[in-house]
Amino acid sequence: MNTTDILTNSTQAGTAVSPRLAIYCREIHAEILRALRTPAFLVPTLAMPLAFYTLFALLLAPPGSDAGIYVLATYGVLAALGPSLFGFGAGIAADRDAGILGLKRLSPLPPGAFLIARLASAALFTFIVLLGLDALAVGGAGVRLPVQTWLSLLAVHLLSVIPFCLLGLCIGLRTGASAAMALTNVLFIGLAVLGGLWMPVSMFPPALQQVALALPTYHLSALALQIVGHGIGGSAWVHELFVLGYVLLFGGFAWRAWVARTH
Amino acid sequence: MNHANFPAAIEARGVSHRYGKVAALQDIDLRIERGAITALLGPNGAGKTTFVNLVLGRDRPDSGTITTLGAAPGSAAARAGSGVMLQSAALAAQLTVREHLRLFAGYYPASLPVAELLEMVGLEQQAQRRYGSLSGGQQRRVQFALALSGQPPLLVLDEPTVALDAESRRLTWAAIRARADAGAAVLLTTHLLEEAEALADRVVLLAGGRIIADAAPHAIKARVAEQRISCRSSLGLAEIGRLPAVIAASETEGRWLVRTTRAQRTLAAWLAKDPDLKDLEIARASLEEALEQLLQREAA
Repeated sequence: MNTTDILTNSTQAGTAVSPRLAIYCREIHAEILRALRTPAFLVPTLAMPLAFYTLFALLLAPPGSDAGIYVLATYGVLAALGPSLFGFGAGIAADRDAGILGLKRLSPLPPGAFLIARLASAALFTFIVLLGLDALAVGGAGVRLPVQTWLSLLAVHLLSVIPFCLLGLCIGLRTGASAAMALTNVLFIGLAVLGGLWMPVSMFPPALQQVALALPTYHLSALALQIVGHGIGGSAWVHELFVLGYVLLFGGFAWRAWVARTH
Repeated sequence: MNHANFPAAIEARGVSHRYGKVAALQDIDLRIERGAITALLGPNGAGKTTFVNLVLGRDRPDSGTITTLGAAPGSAAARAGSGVMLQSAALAAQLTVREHLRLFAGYYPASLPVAELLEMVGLEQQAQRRYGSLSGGQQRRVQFALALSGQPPLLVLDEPTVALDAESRRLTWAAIRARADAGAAVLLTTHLLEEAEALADRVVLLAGGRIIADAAPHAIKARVAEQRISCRSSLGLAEIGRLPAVIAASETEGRWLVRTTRAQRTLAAWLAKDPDLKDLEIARASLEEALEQLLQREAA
């Protein structure tokens, strides 16, 4: 066997599609197993949005209010924020510190597979929380929406995973494990509260309202609220443009960090 | 597997690398061939891990060129043919040994069955245990199994037997030997002369970022087989200096410290001249001392 043999062998394996796909699937499976076996990650990220929905939409909502719909739209963004930020920010920083990422990057694993697996894991757990939120909304708060609306809402919430994961990746690749954990916590709370996921931005003092305009959580929840007929101002395309900007910004920083970090 | 047509597994030419002000490697020329075990031997800080990092593409040399399996270090082609064990690496604590092996074996086109890997590293009993619950030595053996899993034509092992007990060390050595016999190139680092001696076909001695010797293990051993005799004796410096095999002698507080290449010959002659010699101690020079000695000889 010579070098070109190795190359052709692996390319042949690649062109058969299934072996390469199998690598991605196994990596995703392993990543999900890891998350499932880490209660410290699982419980807060999964339980928190559901607990808050129960509290604010079911128990504390004044009778006849449409808090059930409003909070569904904003907590769906929260459902994406948790697994994405913690999985990528604190999670990747910890993997890097321990040398787990270093070993992966020396293996023949395609470089993107590690990140795709993480992304898939974050998306899956987000999806599970979204299903829970939907169940609470329909069963508990009596929310009724057209199927088209449900699907659009689901799409916005699931796609929120992408900018949040990229933001997490910036942290995970740039900071040490303990600093990343602290920073992730601060960002999680900060983005959730200041972005208007807990209470409407219109209730903020004017200065904080300006801050909200700069946050991805604000624009994503604005899109979600618009879908359920509770728009908080601004055209959809402006919010979409902001979200795209965040994807490019965080993606660019993450890419630079990924290339610079080889250990 | 026949690797006869391969270019050199690793080819380094004029490679230098610095970490800040520290010259970690200076002008290294080194060609690692297939079918043999090459040990990079040297004290801590000699540049062994730096060289490994360059071979793997984790760092780029400040000057000079290096290729791994004929490709750029760290490239997809180089990674596809390399099995790696790092000194400071870990695996996901939440996955079992079997899950790790299956995952990693899937990265390579010609991987070994998991059962065979478990047997090679003696972890059959631990297959279902989570990585995080294993002892340090067992974790190292899982990492070693991952390096072997793809039957790669190049094995790069950074201190593979650190934290291993004697039995696991023997198993590890046997598996490394088997890979080399199958035609793979093995590059390993060690700071243990015994390990290099027991395992390697070739020993490359590194000190201060330079190659100071490159030879078969027995030849290296002869060069560093220095002993120290310490005793009290009535002989003077001139007489001791004339004893056979003596390299150097010094006296502190009435006690002689004599470096020799053959302690028996030196002592036999010494005892003949001074039968009242007292407080005798003989020690073998440590690798560090021997290297220092070699370095001084190089510099002279």
